[in-house]
Amino acid sequence: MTRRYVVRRLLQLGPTAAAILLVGFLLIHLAPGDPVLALAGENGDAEYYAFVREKFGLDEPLPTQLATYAGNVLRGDLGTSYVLGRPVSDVIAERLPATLLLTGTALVFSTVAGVAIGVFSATRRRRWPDVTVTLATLAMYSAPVFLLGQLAILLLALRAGWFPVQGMTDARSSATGLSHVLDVGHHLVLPALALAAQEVAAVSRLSRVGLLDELRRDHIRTARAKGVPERTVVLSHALRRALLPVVTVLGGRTGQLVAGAVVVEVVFGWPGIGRLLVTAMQARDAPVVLGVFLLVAVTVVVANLLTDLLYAWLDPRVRYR
Amino acid sequence: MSATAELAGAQPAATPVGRRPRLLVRSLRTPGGAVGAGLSLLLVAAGLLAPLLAPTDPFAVDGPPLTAPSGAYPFGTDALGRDLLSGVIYGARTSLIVAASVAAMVIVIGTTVGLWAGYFGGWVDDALMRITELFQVLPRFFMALVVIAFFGPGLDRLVLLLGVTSWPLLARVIRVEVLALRHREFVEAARVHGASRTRILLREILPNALPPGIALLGLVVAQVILIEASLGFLGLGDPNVTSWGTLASEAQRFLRVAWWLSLFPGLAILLAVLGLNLLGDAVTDALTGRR
Amino acid sequence: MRAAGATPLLSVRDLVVEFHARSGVVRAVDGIDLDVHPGETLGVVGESGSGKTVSMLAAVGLLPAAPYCTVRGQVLLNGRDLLTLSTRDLRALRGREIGMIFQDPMTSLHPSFRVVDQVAEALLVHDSALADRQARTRALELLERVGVARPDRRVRDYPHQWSGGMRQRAMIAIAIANDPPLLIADEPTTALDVTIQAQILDVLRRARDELGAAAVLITHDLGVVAELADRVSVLQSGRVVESATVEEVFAAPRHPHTITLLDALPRLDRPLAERRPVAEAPPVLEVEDVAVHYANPGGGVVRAVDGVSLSLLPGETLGLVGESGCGKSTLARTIVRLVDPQAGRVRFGGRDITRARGRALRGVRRALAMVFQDPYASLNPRMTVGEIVAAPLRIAGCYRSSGGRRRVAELLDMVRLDPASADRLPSDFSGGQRQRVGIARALALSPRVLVLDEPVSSLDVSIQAQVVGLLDQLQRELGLTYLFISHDLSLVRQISDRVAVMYLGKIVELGTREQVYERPTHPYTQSLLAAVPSPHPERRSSRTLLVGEVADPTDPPSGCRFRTRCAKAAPECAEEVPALVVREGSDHPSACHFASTAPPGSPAGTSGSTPDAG
Repeated sequence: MTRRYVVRRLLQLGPTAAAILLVGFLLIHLAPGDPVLALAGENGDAEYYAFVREKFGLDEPLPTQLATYAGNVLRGDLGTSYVLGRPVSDVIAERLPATLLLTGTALVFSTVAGVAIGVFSATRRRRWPDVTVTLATLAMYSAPVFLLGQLAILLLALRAGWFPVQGMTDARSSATGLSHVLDVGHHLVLPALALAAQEVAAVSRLSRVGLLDELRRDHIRTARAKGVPERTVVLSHALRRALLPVVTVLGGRTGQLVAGAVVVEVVFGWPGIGRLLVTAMQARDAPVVLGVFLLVAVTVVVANLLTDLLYAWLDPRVRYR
Repeated sequence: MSATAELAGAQPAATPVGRRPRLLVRSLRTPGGAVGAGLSLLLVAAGLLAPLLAPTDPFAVDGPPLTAPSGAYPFGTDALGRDLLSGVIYGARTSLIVAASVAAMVIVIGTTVGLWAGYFGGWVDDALMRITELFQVLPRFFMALVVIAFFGPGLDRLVLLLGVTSWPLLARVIRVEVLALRHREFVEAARVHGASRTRILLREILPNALPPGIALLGLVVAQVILIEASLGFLGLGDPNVTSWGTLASEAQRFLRVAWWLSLFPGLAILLAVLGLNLLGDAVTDALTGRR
Repeated sequence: MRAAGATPLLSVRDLVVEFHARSGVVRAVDGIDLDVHPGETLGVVGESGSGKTVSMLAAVGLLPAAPYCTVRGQVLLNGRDLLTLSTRDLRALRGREIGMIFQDPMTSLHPSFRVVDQVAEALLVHDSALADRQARTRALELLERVGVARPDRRVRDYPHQWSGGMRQRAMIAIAIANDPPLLIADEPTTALDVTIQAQILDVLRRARDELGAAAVLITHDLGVVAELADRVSVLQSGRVVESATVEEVFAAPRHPHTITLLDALPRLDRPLAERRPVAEAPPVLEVEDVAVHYANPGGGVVRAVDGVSLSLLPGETLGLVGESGCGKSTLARTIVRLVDPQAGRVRFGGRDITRARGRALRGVRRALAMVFQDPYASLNPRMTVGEIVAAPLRIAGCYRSSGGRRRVAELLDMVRLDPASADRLPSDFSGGQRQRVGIARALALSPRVLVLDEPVSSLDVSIQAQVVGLLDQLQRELGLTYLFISHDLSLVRQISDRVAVMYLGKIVELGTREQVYERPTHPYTQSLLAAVPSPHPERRSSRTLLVGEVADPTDPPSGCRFRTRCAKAAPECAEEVPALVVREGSDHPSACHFASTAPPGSPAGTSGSTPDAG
């Protein structure tokens, strides 16, 4: 029943988290060269190397090292960025809000717009609006994020001048109040749209197919035979279950969006963890890279868990099992 | 038996009603399927025949820098004066290598896991599905980033990583198919006649479970091409080969002056991915009889 | 309402329905005329593909819109042409002036809405002044009217918690919610067991009579038509080939197709053809005290088969009848070793094969074959027909030695399929043809015994008759022994030497077909036989209906499992399990403490309004 299902899903979280930690740990040790170099960079001094060696227990046997590593991570200690010289967790915390704003906006927008487009398309099946929308979404689904981003900059920012080209705020505007919010909002439009495009396409395709499948079912015929207005048939009777597949992919989409955000942040100079990650990669700042990976992995795992629970809540037959 | 026996006796040798075209034919007959197959073929052809098709070596400095598209340079040139058309054609080769190798790995791992989990059920299924779920929630793109961070960029490790992490979807689809097929009457018929487990799996179940998986493979490979391109775009591609993503990353710096650097590699990716998606959709539609 | 008999309530003129597929235009309905007068019930009869369902869906605008299909002609309801009505007007009319009931109760209700709310919705959409509470109260009344016991206790139920019979009652409640003058029922009982069918037909008849409504009854089953219809229109390939009163159709059918349908219909009243006497010989197959239990996904243990003993004599046909869920298919699967029993033994030719492995099992597999129910699921869609028929030969390693392609051609010829079609895929064949392929496959290794699990249930009656005729002929030519499993009592009677009746995992009566059909002693057998619709419109019986539904197989009633639905039930039935033995005053075994040929008296519920069990 419901509670047992929740508990079971929560228990499954443990092994998954352990596996993610293990991946991070293995990578440090499988990488060519001394792990201390991977963790502390190649330009550190002997004293710092000794400190890192001590902290990660690099002289201990591997299992002990794994335990030390796991302990550090679980305490929220993701190590120190040797480029920035600050704790990784601080650096990430600083950049996280920008990324959350970007991906959150894209997630909400793509879900709402995707479902709306899917309904529009399915209710005009095989007529020209449907065909047009289907082709357009397929193209959107296939386009690389950076192409959409670059085209948006070229056409809507550089040529038309409607939106700012780069960044999250205008250097000249005030940093507080309503004007700040509007400023950020203005900067947010293009990156969020570019990021959402592929997800809009995915969601609309999924809800179109889901709705078409659902509209063919016997119970929809029953509703029509009762005299239920077509609008209610679509929006209440059919959509309810047609959206189950959309719910199923919420978790997976979160992962896709965060990955897309890395590219979008680079294209639009958006100061989030994506750009932090790319800068860290270029500077070979391994602790930051690993820290961001762990954070993203855990986020995606939790998002998947929430998705499953949401699904179970929506479909009475899963609950009653 | 009175009437019934007469009816049976009067029945002439029955002939089939008509021949239904095979799955592949049916999926290629739709406009989407035909375009998808065409684009996919184009990718394969460009990849295989790159040295014959490309005007120059993609790394060779061939003309003035940042030339706009013209008769001599249909796609223009980059900041070093290299021909972009040649770059795009050689980029197809990189995408093809990545796509084909990952596809091969995904088929082998995904089919094996899905077949075993679905057929044997019980604890085998439980264990395999836990592992599958684990791989499914691992963020592939970030795994790739971490691998590159520790091992440096390179096609080999990228293919290995994407191959090892891209199979869960296929495995799940195959498993669901096998679960549905396992107790289908034709499988039971084979069992009644004493067919071995191998025969049932390979002869009866696999040919029926595979097509939906193959349809999905197009979509999986399309995603893989996008990931490779994204990594290239972030400057993390293999420095020894030309890749669409790497080409597009150069465009970022010259966005204001050389739009073609962004457009053509991006379009190439779009068309390749679109082709695979269309093809996958067409096969799925033909399988489910949906349209 | 106009004067009865003069102006029809519903008048269909020259109705044409065309479907536009990629491959071309298919004319599913080809100029149909139908009339339904007020208060009259029209039976629309035809086989699959005759256009009977499509024509009625087209009439009420429930087919997919253009460009998929086009509908032409005229459908007048009280003088208004439904085909020219606006979507809005047509919607307002559906459910209020036409109530509809569909075939499959398992899929016809919305799985995520509560049943009561779905009934209430039928009222709410046509009466904006109605409050939700009132609608719900009315919905409960309606459910009670169609025989759902204590609906007020089921307010929170979702459809998946209801049985098929109860869901169909809910569908009827929805259809009659707004007292429509016309009911359209599309195969309303096809998906149901015969005892439940009888209940539902009764509910339908009473609902119709209470409303004084006219009805269109779409069905493939002439028995159902005889029970309910006043007039009949017979459809074939999208055309009406015969229209007459129900009495005329049954007494003096004129069109050859009507005659074929009537001839092919297995019926309980047809004189039995003599069967060849079965030679005295030791049984070829014996089932001793077999029990199969399996874990129910929803909890508990299903006792699918619970102590069954049977034997098959060489050359005979043993018919095994029972309703869905009685364990007959599980028993068949146990015999062919697809399922391992928890207890008991299966002997083949005197040898215990229950745990046979390796060589011994291979020997059994050659001599014991099975024909499956679903012609669409029983053939591998990716193998050619030749490969399918050859598969048993290849598995047994004797494809070459048996003659290879020649043997395959021979087998196809035996089931009267063109041997040249061996390289075709199953999708090229019709249902009846596929079933022949399944039979050819079963015959490949020249078995002695065939287990036939509902081999013709999914076929149209005319095709059914052909396949049954073929089976009969093969039995004579090859000296085969059949275990013939079916839910269709008339069919089993037609082809069996002996008959076993099964209920909830146990055999309740066993005897020659004369004994079981002419002198049934178990109340369940008697009720089953009474529930079969009889093709005699002039003799519409006020018969005894079996009350309730089959008990929960994870928690069967103590003692006699049938007692919860039995009119003869007495206290001792709950305590002692009746053995399957020959009782006093009878000539064959029956598992009833009160076995007698006298039909169960006048039980508590002779009407369909009797509450459902469970």
